[in-house]
Amino acid sequence: MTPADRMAARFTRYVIVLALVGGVANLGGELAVPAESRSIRAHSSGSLGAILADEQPHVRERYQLYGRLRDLTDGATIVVPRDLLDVDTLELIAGLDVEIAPNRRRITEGKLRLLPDGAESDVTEPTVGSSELYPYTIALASDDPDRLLVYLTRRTNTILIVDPPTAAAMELP
Amino acid sequence: MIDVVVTTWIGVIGILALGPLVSKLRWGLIGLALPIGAGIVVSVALTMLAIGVPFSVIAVLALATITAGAMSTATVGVRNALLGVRSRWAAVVVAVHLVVGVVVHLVHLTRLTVDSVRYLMTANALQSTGALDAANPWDLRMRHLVAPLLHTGGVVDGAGYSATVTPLFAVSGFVAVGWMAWQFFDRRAVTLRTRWWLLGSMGVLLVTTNRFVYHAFYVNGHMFFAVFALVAIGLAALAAADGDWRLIVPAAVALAAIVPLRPEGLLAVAVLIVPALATHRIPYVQRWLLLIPTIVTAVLWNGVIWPTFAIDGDLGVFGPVYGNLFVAAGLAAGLGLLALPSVQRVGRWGPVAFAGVLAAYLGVSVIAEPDILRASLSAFGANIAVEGLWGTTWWVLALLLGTAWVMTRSVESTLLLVPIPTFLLAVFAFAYLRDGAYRVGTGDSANRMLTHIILVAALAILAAVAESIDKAAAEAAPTESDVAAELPEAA
Repeated sequence: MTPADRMAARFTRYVIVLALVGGVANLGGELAVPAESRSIRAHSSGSLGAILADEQPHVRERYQLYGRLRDLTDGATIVVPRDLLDVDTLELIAGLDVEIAPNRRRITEGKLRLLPDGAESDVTEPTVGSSELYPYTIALASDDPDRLLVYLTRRTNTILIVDPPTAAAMELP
Repeated sequence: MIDVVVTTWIGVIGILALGPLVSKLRWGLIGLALPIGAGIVVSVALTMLAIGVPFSVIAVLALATITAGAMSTATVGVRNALLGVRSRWAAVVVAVHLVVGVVVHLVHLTRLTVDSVRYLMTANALQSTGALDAANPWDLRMRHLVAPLLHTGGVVDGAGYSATVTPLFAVSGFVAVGWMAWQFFDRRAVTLRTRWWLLGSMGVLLVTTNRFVYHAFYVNGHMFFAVFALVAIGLAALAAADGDWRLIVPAAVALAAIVPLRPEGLLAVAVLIVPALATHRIPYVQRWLLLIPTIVTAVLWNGVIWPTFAIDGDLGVFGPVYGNLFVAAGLAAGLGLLALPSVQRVGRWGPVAFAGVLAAYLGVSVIAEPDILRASLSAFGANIAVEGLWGTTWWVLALLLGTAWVMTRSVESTLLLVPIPTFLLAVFAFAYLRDGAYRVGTGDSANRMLTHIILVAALAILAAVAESIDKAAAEAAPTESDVAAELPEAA
């Protein structure tokens, strides 16, 4: 057996043994995790709703919300549960990066601010989430109400998020 | 179950296109039919969207079938255009697609995250409106076309997603690694027993890897990327080793499909393809054949998404669109320069130069913002070790790749091994392009991107073993002078 033979045989064995040992260790690691905590597990059904409910309940709600919003016509309103109102949801429903201003005082005073297209944002407090800010949209989170109204104008890609009293004052449809 | 039919149809498109190669591919058709069919579907859909033809799943599949038939006809003539479909391996491919399709519909292992939902929303918009107008522009720019497109089959039947396409891509990739490795074994003196041990052990490592199995069921683009990359680079390496230039065409189709798959798609293609473009072992014309579909796809895709950047002017188009077009132009210019004899002499240093450019960008970025790299390296280490749920796999692969790097010199090993460290370099450069450090956890981008090269890494190791065995056999074989010395004087 030449030195090259020995080297090749050693490399071949090295590949086979390491891959098998690695595989067994992987399998052992996977089996050590309780079945209900495994990242790969079967769902009760293959429907998108069932998988989302099982795996990503918050995503499911957002997805349903998006589906409802997509069917809206200009000027229609929809009620959004307050616990769904975060940056991810806002991005999902309108495809916009939205800044949620932490300055809630204005809302409670009934002074909703909506910046027109192209206007500079004047929010100076730290923003939530997104790094890219579309200057034409600003959403203000409300302090108190359990449910907020989203007013969607598809033509201008503008979202108004207002508390119900403000919405009433604005005579939104 | 319409998604099973659609995915099987995409496989048949691949069979049709690969017809001229069917006698060479044999069982390799099981691994290559779906990715090649999908690559053709992507090209056709992208062309339709670019020129404004309304999109529908049926129209795309019909036009892709005609395109695949035309590709086959152009190569072997009208009489032999259906060589692939008439092959017995075609029936096996269809059977595998149907069986996998039915099984995944029974076991419900699909994985979803917020990202998945965004892909599916684009798929929904694409199918419901026949264009990308209704798609979320941000998603279009961040998530691109391929994953939504390949899920439209599931949107058609109301399920909202295709349960079949990603698992079938994983099966295809798994088989493709085996078939390509077998070709390298055939070229070398590897015994049947050794082949099965090697393929079996590597198979065990892959199927016990949590993240490989997870991505086989995850609604996202990572498994598509892994399989397209494997098919593109694996076939290019086989072509360079065997001199069978017919393999360049499917390699080019798979390579181009990566461009509209992810935001960094074109840069990743450059990482994969530069060693193949630089080697003189592939004829110059064939190298252009490998590159042109990628260039055309880059122009078409960036043309399609450019208006979304133009509308949101504050984002600017320089980085995403002009940057991609700059990379495309750079690849074309680089290959063009290789026509010059003076450049040809230094052409083999092309991959080193490309890695140098990435390293220089990374270096300058690190000087400006060292914290991003520091945090990224820390998160990457934690993910590889435990948090990323890769188990022991990358430890094993890293050891074997390091050994393979030292032991091999062949053109196929160069084409398969060189992109791997360059890819890792690019991943850290991407941290600065996206302007944020990588994070600890399975959802981190760098952790997910490791999926993109896992199949190429497995094939590179198997090809390196074949080369080492062949070297040993060549040294053991008697030389002409040895034979002469053994012969009787009188003879």
